[in-house]
Amino acid sequence: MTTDRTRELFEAYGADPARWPKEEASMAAKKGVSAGSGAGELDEARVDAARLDSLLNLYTVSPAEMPLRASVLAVRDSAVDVRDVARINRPEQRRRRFWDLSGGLAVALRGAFPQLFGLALASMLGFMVGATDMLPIHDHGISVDASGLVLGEDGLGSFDS
Amino acid sequence: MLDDHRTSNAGDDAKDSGLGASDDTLMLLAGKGDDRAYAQLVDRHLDRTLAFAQRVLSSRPEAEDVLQEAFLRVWKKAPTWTNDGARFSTWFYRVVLNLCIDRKRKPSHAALPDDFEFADNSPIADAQLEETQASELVEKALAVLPDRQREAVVLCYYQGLSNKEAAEILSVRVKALESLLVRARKNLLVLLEGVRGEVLGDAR
Repeated sequence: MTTDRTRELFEAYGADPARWPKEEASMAAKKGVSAGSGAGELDEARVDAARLDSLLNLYTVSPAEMPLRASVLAVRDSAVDVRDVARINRPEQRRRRFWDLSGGLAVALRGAFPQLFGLALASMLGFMVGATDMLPIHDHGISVDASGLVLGEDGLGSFDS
Repeated sequence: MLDDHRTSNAGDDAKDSGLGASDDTLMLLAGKGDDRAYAQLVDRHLDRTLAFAQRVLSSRPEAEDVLQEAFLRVWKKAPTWTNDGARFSTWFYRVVLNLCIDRKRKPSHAALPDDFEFADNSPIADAQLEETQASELVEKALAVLPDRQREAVVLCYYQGLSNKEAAEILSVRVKALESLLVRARKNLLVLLEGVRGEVLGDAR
């Protein structure tokens, strides 16, 4: 290793050969160059490097405290939450879930309690007719089984059989 | 060995994830939802990378923000983690460094610290410097270095990384890294010249 290269190492990595690239540190050790030893013409470079090392060593940083560690771990949990919420809140999935649930409930209700199903359906239709007032029939005092619009001519009677 | 873990031993490691497992193995386990493996990665790397970010940013609160974001990226990356020949620590240092660079691009980092004094007879130079004051002084000197020089010094000197790994993180050749280091240390000596006697009076 040349004198110039040794000077470069002092200037780049500092006075302690333990901080140098391994191969060059071992070569320096064989030549007797160390942080504490005089190296003749390299003395100035070594002393300057040692001074700066001493200064740099004064800059200390305290380790992470528990709240930071806890919040780092919590960030992971929030990442999972965000992923789940994004999936659940996707509008088309939300709508699909509602209709899947409603359809399944209606089929189950009609199979197990046909009369109750008919009553619920009639109530819903009645509410719709009343709320929208789309049918002017009421204005003329005519009564009609509105369920017939959906259930056919038998109306609610179709559930009696 | 890492590949062996990746292909066959991940399930077994899940039973006692943590002690002794490589970073790659822990990433693989974390990717499968192993909380303990992720926590082990946090314990293993939090302090060192926090110190790295703090020295690059000259701000503890911002360094903590960066680390939270960085570990969130670890968690998101874990399910698809492949080392591709790079060590986890190298990849993670890059993540942290890039987040620091993003932070420094914000306006608050555009100007030098207002209270930094170069070598002169300022009160801080004449004062009896306590250890914390000396630490802050060096921190400020580092803060006014050009970014790449500061990053090189922090990686090599403070983090103790090899020149090859530091060069890889900075995406430069080793020769270029050494050039950055030489210039950084010369600048630091000039910056601290005025207070060197005061500080080194105790430090020598």
